[in-house]
Amino acid sequence: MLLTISGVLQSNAQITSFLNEEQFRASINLVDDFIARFNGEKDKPGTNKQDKDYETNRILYLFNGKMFKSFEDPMFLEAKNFADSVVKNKTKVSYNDTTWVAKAECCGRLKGKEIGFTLYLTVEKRTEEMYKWVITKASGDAFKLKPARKATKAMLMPDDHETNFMSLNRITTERDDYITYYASKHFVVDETSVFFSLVYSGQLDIEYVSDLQFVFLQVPGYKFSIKHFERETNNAGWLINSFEKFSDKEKKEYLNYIFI
Amino acid sequence: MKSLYKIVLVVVLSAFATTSYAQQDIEEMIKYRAAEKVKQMCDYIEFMANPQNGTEVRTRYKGKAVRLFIANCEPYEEDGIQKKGVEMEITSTYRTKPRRRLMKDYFTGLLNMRYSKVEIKSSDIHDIQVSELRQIDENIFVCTAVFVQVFVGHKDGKPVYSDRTKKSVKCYVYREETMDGEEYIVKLGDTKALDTKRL
Repeated sequence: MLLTISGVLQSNAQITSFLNEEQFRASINLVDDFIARFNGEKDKPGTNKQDKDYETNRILYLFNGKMFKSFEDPMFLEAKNFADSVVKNKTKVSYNDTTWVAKAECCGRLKGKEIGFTLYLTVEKRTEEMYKWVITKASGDAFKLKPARKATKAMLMPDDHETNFMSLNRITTERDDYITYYASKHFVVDETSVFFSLVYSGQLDIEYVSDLQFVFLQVPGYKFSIKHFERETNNAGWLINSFEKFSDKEKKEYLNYIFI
Repeated sequence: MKSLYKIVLVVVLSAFATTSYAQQDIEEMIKYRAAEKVKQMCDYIEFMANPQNGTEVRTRYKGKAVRLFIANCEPYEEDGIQKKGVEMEITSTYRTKPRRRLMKDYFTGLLNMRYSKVEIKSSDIHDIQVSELRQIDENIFVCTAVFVQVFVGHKDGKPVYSDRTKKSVKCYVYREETMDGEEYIVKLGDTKALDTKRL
């Protein structure tokens, strides 16, 4: 019986060790957690506020370590500049900022055929205390309404006004994908509206999100994004996977692209 | 007069600070309630999965488990939308496309597994991480709880399969006025199994 009990205890201990709670605690498992650590509201386990470079390091810990070859890697040195900018400017990010964007790479089915496309989502205020995510922009080949081939003769004839524009029936029954040939030269396809129309008419289903990242523009002079890295090390979870110098003008253009 | 003004200012600021701290306490309490509910779910799953616990008792635990979830895991209608019932989405390193199962079918699957013994261990309640509470209606809030689960299946006394999965569960918190004051009821929603690593 003692051997059975000790066997059970040993088995329990083994399974409990597989949980790897220490790694789970160190990992940034929630986007909210990333935001809290970025803002200095929460610390990576084991860090010491009394350390000389605590403020810069707490930002550096948020990076995907595999981006850097060594401490002398120019990219690591640039990451330190980024961290210094965050600290110097006391930059904070907030859930209800309008300057962060979710970029979801989606897999869907359009008329039964598998397609890929991108959805950009932002946080929008509903009332004083309530927010929601909204689809701000859709982008994908399926929404560009590109004709399958070049057709120089596809047009409404100059005398169609004399036959009550009966050709309008033809252009919607002969080749649907040619429809933009009949639009004004000034017409620009709005991919987001096409996405909504396809879903509304039951032709498009979103099956799953194959890749998700969050893009942040709050740091002066920079744009950075985070992705989820699932691995057994303490450098895991939601981590900065890319960052680049980004001027205010570029930020404005990026947000215009998303919001307009 | 000046002193009176200062006293009033201190009292008002203290009241504000007290309200702020009280609100924070309530939020922390709600998040802990959510973690408790998730831990309860894990405990029921642990019991349901082990064939050594007997079919009748395991089925009873399945009944308890479904009642932790929105609409008891059954389909329901909301704002004209027919919802098929709480789902679990499983992503794996071996498969690009995630699989989806109704939660009640997942529980039935636990009862029908062909192992002689199953051991499941989940994060301790203090290790369950809960996101910020976000309000969606006058008396309804949502948050997400993340935890880790280890599964070991045995056949003929030997472990033949084991994995470690990170799971995130949506938690819906309903605020109700009762004679004893405000009460918070937590119901669980869709679950995402973030990764499954074979051990």
